[in-house]
Amino acid sequence: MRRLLRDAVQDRELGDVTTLNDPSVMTALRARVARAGSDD
Amino acid sequence: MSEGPCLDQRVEELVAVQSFEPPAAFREKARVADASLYEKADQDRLAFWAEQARELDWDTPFSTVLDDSRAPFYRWFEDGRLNASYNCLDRHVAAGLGDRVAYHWRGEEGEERAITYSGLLHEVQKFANALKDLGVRKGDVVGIYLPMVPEAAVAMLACARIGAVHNVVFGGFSAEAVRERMAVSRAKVLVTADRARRKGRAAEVKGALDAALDELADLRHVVVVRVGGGGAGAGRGEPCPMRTRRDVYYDDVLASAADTCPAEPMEAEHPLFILYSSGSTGKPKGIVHSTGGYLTGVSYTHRVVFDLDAERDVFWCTADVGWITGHSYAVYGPLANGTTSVMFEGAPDYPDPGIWWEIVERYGVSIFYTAPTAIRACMRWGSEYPAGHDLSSLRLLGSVGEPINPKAWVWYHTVIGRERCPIVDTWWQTETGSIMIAPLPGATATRPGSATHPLPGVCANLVDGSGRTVPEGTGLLVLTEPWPSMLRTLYGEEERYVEAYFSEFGPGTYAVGDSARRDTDGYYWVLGRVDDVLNVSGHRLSSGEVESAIVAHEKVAEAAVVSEPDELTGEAIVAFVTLRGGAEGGPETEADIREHVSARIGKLARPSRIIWPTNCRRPGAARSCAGCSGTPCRIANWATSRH
Repeated sequence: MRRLLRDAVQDRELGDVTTLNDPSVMTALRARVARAGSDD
Repeated sequence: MSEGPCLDQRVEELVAVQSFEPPAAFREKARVADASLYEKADQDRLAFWAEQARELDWDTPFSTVLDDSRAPFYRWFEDGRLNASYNCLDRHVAAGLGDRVAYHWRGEEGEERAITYSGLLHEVQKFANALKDLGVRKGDVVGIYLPMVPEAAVAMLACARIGAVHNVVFGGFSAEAVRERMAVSRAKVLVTADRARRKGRAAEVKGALDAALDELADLRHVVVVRVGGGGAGAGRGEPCPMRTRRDVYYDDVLASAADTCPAEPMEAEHPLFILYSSGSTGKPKGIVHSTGGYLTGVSYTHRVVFDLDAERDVFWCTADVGWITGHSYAVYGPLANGTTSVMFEGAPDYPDPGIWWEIVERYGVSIFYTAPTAIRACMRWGSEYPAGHDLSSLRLLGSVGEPINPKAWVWYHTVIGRERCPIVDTWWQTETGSIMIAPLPGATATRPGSATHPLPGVCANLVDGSGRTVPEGTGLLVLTEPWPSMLRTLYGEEERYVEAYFSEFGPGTYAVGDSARRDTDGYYWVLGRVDDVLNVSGHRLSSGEVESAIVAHEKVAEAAVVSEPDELTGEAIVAFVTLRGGAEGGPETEADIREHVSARIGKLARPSRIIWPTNCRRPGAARSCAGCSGTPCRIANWATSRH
């Protein structure tokens, strides 16, 4: 799962998300990563 | 007055302790209390493994131990024949242990079923016949996608009985994951459930799969266990949509199946199962395990690592059967050794976070095996929950799934084990089949965060990128000799098997993919996956090490760190952090955590930014991720579990 976090942080296309029950959580997470980035 | 606060104070005192000797009272009664087992394995490793294999019942004894002529395709006990289901069931019943409980099953709403060895044998024979009636033959693949109900173990053992190869998919994975794993393994039959219960709700399972299953050309039948509304086998909830001719109910096929199904002797190298592992890159790997070698490895390690006394112990491995830990230590290892186990359907915090400890008390659990992420969740919920139960039956604790951070280790030791129970921190992988690096609890002094030493019979080393031994310090973990429970190949992908594990250092050295540190006393400290190593300004740091430091902060519940490219430092550290009690982080806490990491490791290890993922969950999505197996689903929580 660390792999997915890395993908989110590095703004890459997400890899295999089929093991997530709710893949939409990654969208929400990405939004948060982006927002944290703009705070810098 | 609860003793929770006193225990917490004691945790703070013990955090500074570096080494824990086996408690004298434990050592006195332990199976192994000295180094003799290591010496025996060192003298003649193959003879040692042959002796472990002979603890099983063989229909045809083996005459060769290891054939390495086609390395890295190793073969163990090749001319022997045995049946895994016979070894897990029939031989215990024949020895007069038919009335011994194999599983104390506990349902989410408190339902109980005590399943004896003879009861389990009866149901396995019937279901094996039912599978035959559905056209399943030796070598066919049968998918299993079930919640934690006894039928999961029945289905696995029924496959083993007739030589069908099971392919279990974790019940929390999505329909797409099931479709993909069934498609690539060309499964003929899938065993699943009408519903799965989760924290008081029942979610549709089979109905949610139908669209995905319709695409599978090889799938002939779907067997549906009625978990319904009232616990496995207890009742029928609402009917679930059934496809004519394809779908059948488990209880119906069981009712019409014959009672007796002799266990068919299998070649030792006959595949027992496939289990798909997500891996860090690319599509899932179908890890193939053998019958004879796998069963040898899991039964041996279950005996020595857990100091098993099958007459007396009640063993509880909390892992779901969908993981290798569930295969090896909730099903095959314990059953092969005639053990009484606990199987629990539910989550660790339903109806409240005391449920695990209530179960320990209720069934007199003596050996408890769980994951660091669950231990940290228990820490977060508070010591008052375990303090409210009588845990005096416990004598040994185990940890599996990732390196355990020292703070969680000490909490486990103090609040759950009451400083009386040794902790076995076990390192192994889906690929290794059974535990590889772990203490022998009566013989090994343990160090919080270290899995200690390779087990007797296991040969490990640390090397640099060119294969040279790193005697002390950080290197790549490798296994330098084959072992019986090693994977045999990746299903349908022999080249990928060689490439993934034996291309880096040649066919004689299994490349684990983890980095580890060896200290001056030879203790192994597994740091994490090689691709989880961070490189900040040319200094190599492990993700796990930085995470441990962050988690040691008093406010922090869970942490996961990854890198991002940085112009100045090459890579910068980004941390995902959740706080205790679900609190929201802010700039002050961020500065505080950065300072804390700086003090514990160094300025280099400070995260360049911290992301608080607590609120990323979609409202109403009770389980946004599959892998956390019941711990509250926070991003950073599952990010630290390896799956």
